[in-house]
Amino acid sequence: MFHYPFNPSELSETAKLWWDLFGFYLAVALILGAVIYASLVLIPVLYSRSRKSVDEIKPGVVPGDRGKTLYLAMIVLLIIAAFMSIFVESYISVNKLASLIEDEYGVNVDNLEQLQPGEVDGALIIEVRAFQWGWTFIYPNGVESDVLYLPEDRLVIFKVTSDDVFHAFAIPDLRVKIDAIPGQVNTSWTIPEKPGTYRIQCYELCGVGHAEMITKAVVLPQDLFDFWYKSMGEELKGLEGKG
Amino acid sequence: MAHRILQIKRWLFTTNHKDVGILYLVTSLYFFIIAGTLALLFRIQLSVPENDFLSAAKFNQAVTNHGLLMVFWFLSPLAFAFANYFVPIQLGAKDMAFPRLNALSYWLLLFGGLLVLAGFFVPGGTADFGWTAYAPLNTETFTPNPGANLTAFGLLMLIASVTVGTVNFLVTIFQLRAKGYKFLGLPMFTWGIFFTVLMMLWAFPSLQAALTLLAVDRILGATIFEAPKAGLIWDHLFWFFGHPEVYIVLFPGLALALDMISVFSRRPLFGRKVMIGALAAAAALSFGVYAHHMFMTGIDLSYLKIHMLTTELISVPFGIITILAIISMLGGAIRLTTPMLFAIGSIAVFIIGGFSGVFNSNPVLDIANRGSYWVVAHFHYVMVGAALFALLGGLYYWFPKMTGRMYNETLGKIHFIISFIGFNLLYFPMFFLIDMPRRIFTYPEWTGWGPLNFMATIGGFIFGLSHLIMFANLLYSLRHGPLADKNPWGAWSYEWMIDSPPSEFNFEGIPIVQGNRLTIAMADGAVTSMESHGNHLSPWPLLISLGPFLFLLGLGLWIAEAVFSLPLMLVGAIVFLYAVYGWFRDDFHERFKFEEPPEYKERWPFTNIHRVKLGMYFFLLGDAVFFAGLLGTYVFMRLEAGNTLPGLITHNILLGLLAVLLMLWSSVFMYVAARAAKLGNKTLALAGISLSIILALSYLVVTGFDWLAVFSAGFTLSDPAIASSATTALSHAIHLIAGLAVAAYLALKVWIRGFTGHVPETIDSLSLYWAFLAVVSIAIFTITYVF
Repeated sequence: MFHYPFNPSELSETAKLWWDLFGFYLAVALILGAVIYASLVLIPVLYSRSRKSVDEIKPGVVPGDRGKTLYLAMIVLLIIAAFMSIFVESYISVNKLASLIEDEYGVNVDNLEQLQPGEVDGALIIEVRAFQWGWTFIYPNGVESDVLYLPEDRLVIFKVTSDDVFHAFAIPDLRVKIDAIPGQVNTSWTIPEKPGTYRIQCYELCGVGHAEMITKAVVLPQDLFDFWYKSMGEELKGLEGKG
Repeated sequence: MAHRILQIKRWLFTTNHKDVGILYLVTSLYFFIIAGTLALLFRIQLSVPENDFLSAAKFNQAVTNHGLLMVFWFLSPLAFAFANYFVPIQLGAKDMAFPRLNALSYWLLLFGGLLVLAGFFVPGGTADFGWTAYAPLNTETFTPNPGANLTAFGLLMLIASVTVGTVNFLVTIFQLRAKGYKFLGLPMFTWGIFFTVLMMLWAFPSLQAALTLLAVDRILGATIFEAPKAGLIWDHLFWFFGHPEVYIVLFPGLALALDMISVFSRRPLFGRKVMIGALAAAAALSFGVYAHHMFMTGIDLSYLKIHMLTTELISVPFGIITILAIISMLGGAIRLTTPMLFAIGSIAVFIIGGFSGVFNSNPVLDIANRGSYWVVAHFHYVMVGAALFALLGGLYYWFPKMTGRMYNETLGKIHFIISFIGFNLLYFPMFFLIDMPRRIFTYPEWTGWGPLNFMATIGGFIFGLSHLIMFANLLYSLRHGPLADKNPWGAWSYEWMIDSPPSEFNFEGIPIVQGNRLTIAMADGAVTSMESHGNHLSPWPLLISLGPFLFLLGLGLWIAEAVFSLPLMLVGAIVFLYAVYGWFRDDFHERFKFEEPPEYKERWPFTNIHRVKLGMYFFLLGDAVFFAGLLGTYVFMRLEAGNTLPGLITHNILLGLLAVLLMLWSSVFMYVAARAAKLGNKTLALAGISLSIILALSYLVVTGFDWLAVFSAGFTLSDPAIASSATTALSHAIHLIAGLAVAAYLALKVWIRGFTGHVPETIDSLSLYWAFLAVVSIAIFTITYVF
């Protein structure tokens, strides 16, 4: 998990959101878990050594209620409070995932799949096609590639679909993941923030080639990406011109 | 020699709930060894990067069958081994409500599992699409393996087994409690089984619908699941079943752990009623959380938000149960016996499983969790950890009761310690493999996943082999253990008040509950005459399951173009028909009589409903989900799957209307017959049944004619809407044909023997079934003909 020499939440906007939220959940889990585990271990240890002769279980007698209503109510309320804090935080985070790009780019996340290239300033829309067993990335200028090149600090929107069976498109380090479903276009987005090479892999069992459905995402600085994008586009045009 | 033959006959033909429980136990442990071996095989493959111990195809088959066998043929059957053995005793009953159906559900389970295993030996390999079997990977186009058909058939037999068992347990719990036994006084284990079967009742029909559609795809050449977006409807159907299934596996173990905690800390549970309420709340909520398995499928965000809320909400009842279980030990005199250690261990791993589950409730966090080893770790902590530890504890807890001998306590504790360490070494590293996808057969070295996987494999071997200690301990103690007395743990419920092992009818008197006291009133005439109630053995449950097994095995081999397939199918069909005939014949001569006098039973709230009718009510409540799933698929196909034509164009609407009217009148006449049977009017009853049969047959003819017209107009099963509505119509017709067989038999019996035995009640139940089928035919008409 932590095989990077730097903070994994700095890799992209979505990774930041994910790690912040994960940290919150982990903190709640560790605090509650510590208390519960302490009592789970201590109570049996302490009370198995006690010399008290408690015996409230009598053969053939339905055990009575030990209900101390006040304590019960307090426990229930405590758990509901923990639940509420988790729920509020996750509700906020889900909305944040949408509002992050709505506020900055004015994109309506509800119909991302209808979005056409050029509609949003500064956003790059990449079509991702999954197949048994590999990926094709199609850029707005018609360039097709089996390696994903991404610009740094720019909104990238993925329109993901599949040619055959269920796949799941994921760039785990950038915290991008969305299912690729035949006959349907799903969208996902991120803003990569650190140049580098990242793993792309399929996360849904899709047949015998599932494990080998790996390729790489290369995040380039803006100018380098623009250079690659333009030269590939011109090469493509040149080929078409010749054809 | 004669004694040995008698023994074999006893185990094959038994209908006694304790014998069936032992059969369940042995079978589930057998499948445990097989599925566990598969797990060890693929753990070896994953232990180091770029390993080539298993090929990708073999790995996928091993993973798929490991999941299916563990969930369906080990964990649930192990829980139901205990349920079969102890729920009737805990209720104060002498057997289940329907002993023969109980044996039937065991044999269906066994033969279903054998079908799945048979898939391994079919050339071309068995199912390899994961236990979730996502569409369209599960279709013939992408998984041509002929063994996969056998897997689907095996699962369908399992669903039949579950349906029969569910109805049986519900009627038993509702109507066979000892006189005066209030629901709230029942042990937690029985409560756990009660909620488990309620969830089974509504969850499994959804899987049944999905598998029926898949079978139509794979056998009749339809392409329902290859239609655009059709993968989503599989997801919906599968996870509507799949999430409750997790709790179906968990509940018996969790409830059992609560009982053991109470007994071994010598204190009543703290907030027992609140815990029962929490179990009820979790069971109800379990049907409304399943979309958290589909956070990444791109379905509507507001739908996801609701399921995020419910998923987080479900942590409340489970949190309450866990914390109250721990608090229950406060102030007790705790004895750390083997069962108690397993119960505490179960709660300990359930806490980790539960907390990691909360992480999965959030669509944002799911970006990393979905399809990763985090999820693998999470559900193994719940299903293996929490459920299995508690159930193994149950095996030690009840071993003296089932065998009359004690196991070796030291070896039991060693087993617990080693398996607990092995378990955590196996699954905890997987939380750190949150980046690693599930179900990949290998991974490159640069991913850095090697060391954690190696650790997990070591843990897997420790965990897996630790159970050999238990097998050795229990097998040795079976013959050589010290004799156990009635109540070695000082527990309170009914099973500890009778002999170890219990006698054939459990109680030597009449169990009666007075206030909060369980008593066994001494025998009077009514009870000792139990033994004279005829034979407790019946060959028909075995044969009635063997028939479909042979038939489906033959069908699977026939598709695989193997030899001996057609004779196998023929033999299967003959065995099945003969067994059905035999069952009817037994019923005709009323050879198999087994019923406890209702006046000694607590039947609230269904005091005045006959058990057959109550069973029918429960069966239909589940069956409604099956038809809803099929019709929902049709609606989905019409709305989402490209260009499909409305039923108005494909079908003759007037013919459809005529069919519905025939079915309605058929149902009316069946009702008339039921009323007449109640009043004892033989002529009217016979007339009603006959008219009903004739009208139902004309319904089948008219519907069949309509479908012939559809197909001759050039429509084929390659249209997903046509295929899904044809599947619905076919399922309805099969229901009706089964009903017609029973109706014809009942008419014959009334004609020759009059209203003997339970005939009036059976006709009454049949009229209920008929009314249900009439309602379904209206639904089929309004949805598939008009829309």
